[in-house]
Amino acid sequence: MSGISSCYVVTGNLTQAGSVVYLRADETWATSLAEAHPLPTEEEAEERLARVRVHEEIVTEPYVFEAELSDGAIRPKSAREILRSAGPSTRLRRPDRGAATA
Amino acid sequence: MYRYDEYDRTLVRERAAQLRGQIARRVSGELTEDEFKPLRLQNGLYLQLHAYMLRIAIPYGMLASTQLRKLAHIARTYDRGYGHFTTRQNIQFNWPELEDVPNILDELADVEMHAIQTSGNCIRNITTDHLAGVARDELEDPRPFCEITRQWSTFHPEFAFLPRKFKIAFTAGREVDRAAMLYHDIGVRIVENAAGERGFSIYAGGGMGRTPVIAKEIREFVPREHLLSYMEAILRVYNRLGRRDNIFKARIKILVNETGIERFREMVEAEWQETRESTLRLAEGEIQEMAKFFAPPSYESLSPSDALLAELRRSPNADFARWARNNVVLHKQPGYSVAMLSLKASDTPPGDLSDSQMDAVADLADRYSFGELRVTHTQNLVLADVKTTELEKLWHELRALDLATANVGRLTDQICCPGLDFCNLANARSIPIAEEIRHRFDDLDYLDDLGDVSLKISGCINACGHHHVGNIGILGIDKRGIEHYQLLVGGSSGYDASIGKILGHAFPREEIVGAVEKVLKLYVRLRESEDEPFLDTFRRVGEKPFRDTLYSNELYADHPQS
Repeated sequence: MSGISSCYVVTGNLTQAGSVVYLRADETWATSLAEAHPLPTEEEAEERLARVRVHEEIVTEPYVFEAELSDGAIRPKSAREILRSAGPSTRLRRPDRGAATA
Repeated sequence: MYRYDEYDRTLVRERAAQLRGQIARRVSGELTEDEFKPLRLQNGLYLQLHAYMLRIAIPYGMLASTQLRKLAHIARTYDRGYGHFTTRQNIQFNWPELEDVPNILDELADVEMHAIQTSGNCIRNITTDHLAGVARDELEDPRPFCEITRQWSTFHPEFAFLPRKFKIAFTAGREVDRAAMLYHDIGVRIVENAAGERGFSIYAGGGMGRTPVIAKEIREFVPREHLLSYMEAILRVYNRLGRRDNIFKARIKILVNETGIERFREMVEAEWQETRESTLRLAEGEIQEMAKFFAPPSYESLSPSDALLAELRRSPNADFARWARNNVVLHKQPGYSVAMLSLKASDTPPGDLSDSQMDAVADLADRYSFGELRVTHTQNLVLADVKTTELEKLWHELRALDLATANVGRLTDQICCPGLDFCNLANARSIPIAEEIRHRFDDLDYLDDLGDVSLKISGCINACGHHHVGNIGILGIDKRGIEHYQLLVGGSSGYDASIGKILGHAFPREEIVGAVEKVLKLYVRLRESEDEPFLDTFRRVGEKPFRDTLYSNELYADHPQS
């Protein structure tokens, strides 16, 4: 049965690279929102957050955001988190370091 | 340009080495983020939405070609091939990795650059008129005083932890303020008193952000030798009495407003009695020594070229003629002109420049403008000393680089902050709005018909995109997770400063550019002649017709100004 429900995701930025990451079920970090572990309640998400917060040398200032879970896909509710997961909506000169100069 | 002495070189190298150690301790876990954050911020290093961002100081907007080449190298080697020039004449790189930052700072030190005091609650980069030293209406070149102020404020032990950030701008134009001086914590205007003596009118308590305030004159005339002693007195009063309990009320503008300018002035004057005869008093010899760094370049002795420029502006090459009309400014030196390079072209975010463009512009600066260029607070570049006879040749080269868009001062010459595409503080995107405006209004004939209309876009109330002072301003807000945009009309950043008025409720993303179009159509209908600028029309007719045209089908009075 398909449906939409609220969920909570733990996120942060890698301390070294600065890039956006999401907490997986095994409490490792993924760069893709699709790999994030959606937690059904804010309390559970906060518990996970407290556990990973002690490793801030890996991920800086982790926090929890609210999303919708629809057919297994996580959809952030805020424009901020949509952009964090998708990257800037503007054309970038180079998609990544080392690629050809525009 | 100012050149570092041994003291400057040591200071900058030592700071880079300190940050290298701090970063190593952060990565090893020895420092927590709470401990590390103030350290990185003192070196211009932010953590944004997607990555770190490094803000590099460009003191009063002056860049040498060697420095721009170094920035190109940094963009290419450590970032994603571009840099973003800001409204405070700085440059930002949006994608550096943490462990690369010390290497970047070492590379910057090689060309006498740094990121010191580009963030944090300290005195930030000193800004000024991008036409300093070449403007015809200039009373005196402000750059020596900017550099004197930079040296005084760098690592000033008393002002390293102010209640909030502190911005100082200088202007010297008799007619035009090109530095938005009245929106700074301290604004300094070079003036001449009735006796013909040069000095400064000092303004305090200006700023944008969530509480926009036009600075108030605190002293009509401060003699040259007392520039630093008077600013020190202002800073001391602010440092002592500025609020530290509420970040939103911590800027000097709040203190000046709450105290009242009269009482604030009294306190500063009392403090000045302590500072005015101190070592801060500037000897005329010191000022003259500093002025030597900013001596005019070796201009050739040429005939006046105003008539030639007028002719170029009527050239049969219509594209070049338009560029000469819109992007070239009269120079005070006979035979020379000022060329403005618009960074508001094609599909790139306002203020962005690629590494290859940086290299190419550095070469142009060497060949056409004595190896120097400037950054404007409107996010453009300037080649300040170009022979008028070489303008057309330069234009051809700029066009090949996509840097000859003839829109300086026009609607599409927008100031625009990075917005929610990059910024941690933003509520809404601003760059896509700027791009949509550029596409909607891409007819240069129409833009020329509109004349000078400033449009400024901020992605949040912090107002990095100066939306309060645009003739038309756009402010991005978040309404229940969805981007909306407020429209403001009637702002000005000049000597005739005014704060734009919010005309009604915010528009959804898909409607905001249409709202701008309605405002422009109304202006064209209401202006008394084609020569009446947008701002004059707005001031003459008031906000009601503009509000009516935007909200005519609604009971706008019922909407909260969200």
